[in-house]
Amino acid sequence: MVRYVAGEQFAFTATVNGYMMRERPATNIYMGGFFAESLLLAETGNAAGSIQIAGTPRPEQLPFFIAACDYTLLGEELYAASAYLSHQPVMLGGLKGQDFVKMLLVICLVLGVLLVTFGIGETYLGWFESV
Amino acid sequence: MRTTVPIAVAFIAGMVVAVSYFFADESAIGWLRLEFLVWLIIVGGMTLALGVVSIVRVNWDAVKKRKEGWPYKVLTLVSVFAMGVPAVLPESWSPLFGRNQGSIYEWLFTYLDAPMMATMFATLAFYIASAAYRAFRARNAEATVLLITATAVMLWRVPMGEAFLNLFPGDIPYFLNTYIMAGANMAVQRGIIIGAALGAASMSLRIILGIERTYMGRG
Amino acid sequence: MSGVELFQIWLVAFATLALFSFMYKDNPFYRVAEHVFTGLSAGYYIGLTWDTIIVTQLWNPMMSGRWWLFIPGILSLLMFTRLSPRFSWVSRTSLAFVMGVTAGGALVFQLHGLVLPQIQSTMMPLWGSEGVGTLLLTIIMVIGVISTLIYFYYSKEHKGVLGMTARVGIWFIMISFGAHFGYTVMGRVSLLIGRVQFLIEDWIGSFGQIG
Repeated sequence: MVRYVAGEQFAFTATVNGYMMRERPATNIYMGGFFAESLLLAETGNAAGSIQIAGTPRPEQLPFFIAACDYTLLGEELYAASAYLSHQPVMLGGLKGQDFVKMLLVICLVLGVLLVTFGIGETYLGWFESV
Repeated sequence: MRTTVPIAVAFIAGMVVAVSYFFADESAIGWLRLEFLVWLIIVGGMTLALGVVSIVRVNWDAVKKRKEGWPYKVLTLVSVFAMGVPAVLPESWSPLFGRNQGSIYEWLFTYLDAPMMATMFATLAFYIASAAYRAFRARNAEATVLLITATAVMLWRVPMGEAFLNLFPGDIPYFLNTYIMAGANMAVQRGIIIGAALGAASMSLRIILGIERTYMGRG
Repeated sequence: MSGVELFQIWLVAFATLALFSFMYKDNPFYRVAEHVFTGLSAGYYIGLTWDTIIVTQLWNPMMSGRWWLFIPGILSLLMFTRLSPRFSWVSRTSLAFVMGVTAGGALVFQLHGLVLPQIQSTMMPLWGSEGVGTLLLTIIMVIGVISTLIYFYYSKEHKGVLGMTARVGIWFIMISFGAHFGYTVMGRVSLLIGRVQFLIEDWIGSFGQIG
């Protein structure tokens, strides 16, 4: 059953930490946006002896999850995981699209660095601002 | 009906907000976007109230059935009402009501809620130490890189450590600040942010188009 | 120091010590603090929702002519059908509205507010006032961003050039995580110092006031 615990970050953490130490869950799955509570939760789960899987798109919390969890989905792996698990064509297609854009961005980036180096990148950079 | 209406609502709301970005706030669609954002605050905010109802219900049930740890649940219920009820009563009745200076709400926030938040935040210092201990057992080459970088940056961040780093040839603190923090670290943060943003945009599109509907649950 | 002030200090000290005690192990003091904390947090949102949402965003504007706000008002009420298993499906429409608006905003924000500015900021010149320093920084930055992006490239198996670039990416990622970890440690310690300072100066300092 899904249970609402608290809207406030640390009240939520205090409750979940207490719950983990008392109930000793076999597995903890932390998925989504996390802030300073990431390490508090993951370290407590670790102390409770649970297997822990985490995933967050927030790069500043990833080192803490890596330190305290057994498996960590880094950044966009969180979004890719559902495609990987479901194998749905629509999901996999989305992933392909993301990869395509990524490659396009890499090309744009290299081109931008070269243009800026030769002092002719004003219009190009301006385009990125005006879009 | 049970799924078609919500999908249509998500589509219209999502398209209005996304498309209106290309129009001025004064245009009809721009006006609608601003309205939708206010509506979002109202509906989203009320979900917090739903959460409060859920907390009261779950804890009340535990007390009534004398479940394990029920006396603690009484404390939760008392705290909910002690803080919540005076906050919604009109200030004109008593200075203890409402949310201003001198109210029960403000007193409980200042002398219990806020210090407890600060304490939980402060416990991070202990947790980070135990996490560091675990992370610093270099298991492979990658973990060793993490360990060396973390140790160097930690040293650099304290005066005594910085003095130690300065014993070595070359300006290590400058190197750490310029090429590690503002260089490699920043580059990776950017790479992750870009990738995650693409993933989030793709998911947003799936929600608007009704492909992603897991938020509706089953039934 | 008045009796009330003394009580306040002892109350804060109790809450602080009770929460800290969890690091040793779970105990009744922690459970008291934890349950009070959860309750207060819920109570906090009652006050906040009532004041800033129901009164300020909904009731007052409706009474001043923005009658159409009854729509989000109804959507908000529908949300409460979630409490009944039989009618919980009704709340989907409200949830769909929240999801739709959030997704619509996120779609634009993620691309325009994050992707493009991050790429644009990385377009640095290879040669600048710092000479070799600029060159080195730009190379680190560009290789770091590209190799990180390639590390998360899923369409092809990571072999050959792609594999090598991804390998460079994971090294960069580990350096970044280490740097961030090291950088954060000191910040967290200073938070702890703040609480310890309260306990030593205010709480232990108040011992002389008793009796």
